[in-house]
Amino acid sequence: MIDPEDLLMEHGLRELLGGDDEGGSDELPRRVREAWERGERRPALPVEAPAPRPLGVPANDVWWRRPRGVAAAAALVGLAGGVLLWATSGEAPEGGGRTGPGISVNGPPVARATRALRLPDGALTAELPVGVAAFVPAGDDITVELGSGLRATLRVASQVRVEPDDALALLAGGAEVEAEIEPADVRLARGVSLRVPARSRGSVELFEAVSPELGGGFVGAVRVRPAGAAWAVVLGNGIEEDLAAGEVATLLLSPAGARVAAASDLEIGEEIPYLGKPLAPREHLEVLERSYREGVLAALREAPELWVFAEQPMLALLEDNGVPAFARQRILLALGGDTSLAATEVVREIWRSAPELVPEPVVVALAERGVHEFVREVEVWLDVWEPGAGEPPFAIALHLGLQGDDRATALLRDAMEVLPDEGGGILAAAGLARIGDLVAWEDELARHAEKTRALIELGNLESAAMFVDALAYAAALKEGTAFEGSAIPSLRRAPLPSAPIEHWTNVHHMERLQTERSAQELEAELVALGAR
Amino acid sequence: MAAPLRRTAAGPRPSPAPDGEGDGEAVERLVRAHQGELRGFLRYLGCPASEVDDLLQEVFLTFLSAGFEERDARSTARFLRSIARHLFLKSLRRRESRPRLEDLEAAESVWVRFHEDGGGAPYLDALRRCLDVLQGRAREALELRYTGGLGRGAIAARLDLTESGVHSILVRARKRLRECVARRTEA
Repeated sequence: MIDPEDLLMEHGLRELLGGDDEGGSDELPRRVREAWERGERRPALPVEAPAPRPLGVPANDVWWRRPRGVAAAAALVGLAGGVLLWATSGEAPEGGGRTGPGISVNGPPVARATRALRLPDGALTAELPVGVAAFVPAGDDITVELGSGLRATLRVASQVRVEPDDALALLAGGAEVEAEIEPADVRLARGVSLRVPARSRGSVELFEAVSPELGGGFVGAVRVRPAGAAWAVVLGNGIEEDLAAGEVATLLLSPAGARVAAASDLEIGEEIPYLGKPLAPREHLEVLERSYREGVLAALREAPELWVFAEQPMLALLEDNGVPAFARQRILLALGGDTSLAATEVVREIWRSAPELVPEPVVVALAERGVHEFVREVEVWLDVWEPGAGEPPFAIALHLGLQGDDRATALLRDAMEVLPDEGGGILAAAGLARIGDLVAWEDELARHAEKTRALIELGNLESAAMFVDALAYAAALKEGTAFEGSAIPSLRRAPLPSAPIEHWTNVHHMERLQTERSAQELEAELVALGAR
Repeated sequence: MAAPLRRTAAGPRPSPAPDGEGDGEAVERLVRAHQGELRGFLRYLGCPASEVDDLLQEVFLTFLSAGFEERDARSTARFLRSIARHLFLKSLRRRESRPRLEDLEAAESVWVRFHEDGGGAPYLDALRRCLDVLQGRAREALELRYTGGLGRGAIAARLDLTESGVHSILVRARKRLRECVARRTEA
């Protein structure tokens, strides 16, 4: 979705640079008058005052208007297991939307109905417009009357997600699904059909999904076997591929993408308690990121052949403007840290369509690896940077500064002034020190130590600890030496320009906060780091 | 005020055509009064320059055919914008195109805020000053795009970038300008 403010900017640029003004045509008034006097009349249009929005739905809330985005998200969500809750919870209108067993939700507007359906509180009978997702909890029945008049009844022992028109996905925790779909051969919109044995229960074979009309990428059946057994994906050409064994079975049929993505041996037990619970945005973020870092991407590192299943759903998710940009950027950050060719290709693809989405550390990470578009891209960032205009692209400045770019050095000096106190200044000074300006480092180190000691004196040890941790990371950055401060093995290496702020803010400091440190310990760390 | 257009008792609704003497002049007055804003609005929504005049003619004829009761210039403008938005969407559907903006109502409110603030003068003034400090390839790319009317490929050739690089530099330059305009208009 394009931001109207962007179009306004384009309009302004056309006016100022292109001579496109609102002055109007001398001819138009005459043309209209003549047409009117000739008797030209036009039929009335259904132009009315805008209808009020449903209660509790903010004007800029895209979730309820972009249910297909949720579907796309669910593809990878399913892979990672726990991320399902990303789409299912949170942002529900306060105090509204809960429906009890058997409640029928009829017709548009769909916003409240959709939200209600996402709440895990019972069976629902609903007429769902195209693209609306429904979620029901374990142990409940759901009858879904699809927009085309079809009906699906499911009894589940786990979470079920139904996507009329777009996809049907089942997430089966513990492989205990009982499914009944009526009629026996339900044809969903766009040609996906499901054939389910009259009653399929439990432990041997849950169900079989046949999608004969899917062309190209995948035609075939997916069997989901119980916990502990291997997955089998039967491709259209008859080849059966065993995937990783595990307790969690995820199936996604996506007619739009003509693919089946099915792979996971992840343990999501810890995530399951989140399901259905409203989460604060920060919790969403944490679960999403962790699921990607530890889930999807970790699985793909172990089994890169699965990229063939993951790439398209991942791109669909990243390109979906219905998913908040910050969430997609977290995934891009994870991809930026993945050195595989496939991950680089995904980032490159997103950069081509939405360069503004690719975070600075990712741009630098790919430039560091010599990906040619990104080698150019870091220069573009400097081209559009304006001194004093917000937070400077620190990582890019450091990356280019190390190569002797004068503008980058100037930018680092600007960064010392602009970046937040909690570490930006000292990180920028570390960058300058790497380039050879040790005076800037010494000056900033003295200032930083002074601020830290003031906080210790005030008894604000938490903030002081943050300052100390920033200094620890900056010192490692300055020397370009291995950074031993992190519990995460991948961070125990010389910090790269693409890494410092992300690593420091999101990883290093959070880890260290788990251990309380006394004033004396903080002072000792300061001294050890070179503060006088 | 651009009367005497036909008035109705209960707001916008179809009514017979005006046929009294002087109606022709009233029509021209109406068009002169509102065509500037509507032209900008349609361009803002993404209507190509070559199609704006034809679409505007349809907008005004639809407006006149509806016999809108004119209460004040603002309500007239609002109704005209609604017709313009509707006809623009119809034209997109005929071409099987999709609107660039998903929520046209929200887009309209952004436009109204812009236009009702001195016809957008403060915004444009701020943008002019922001453009003055934008240098280098970003500035060049904007000029080639908006003054020269060049496409990405041609700009890429001039600036020795890839087409994706041009896309990126334009996106980032506009973002930077947006931030700059916001700072200046808030100040």
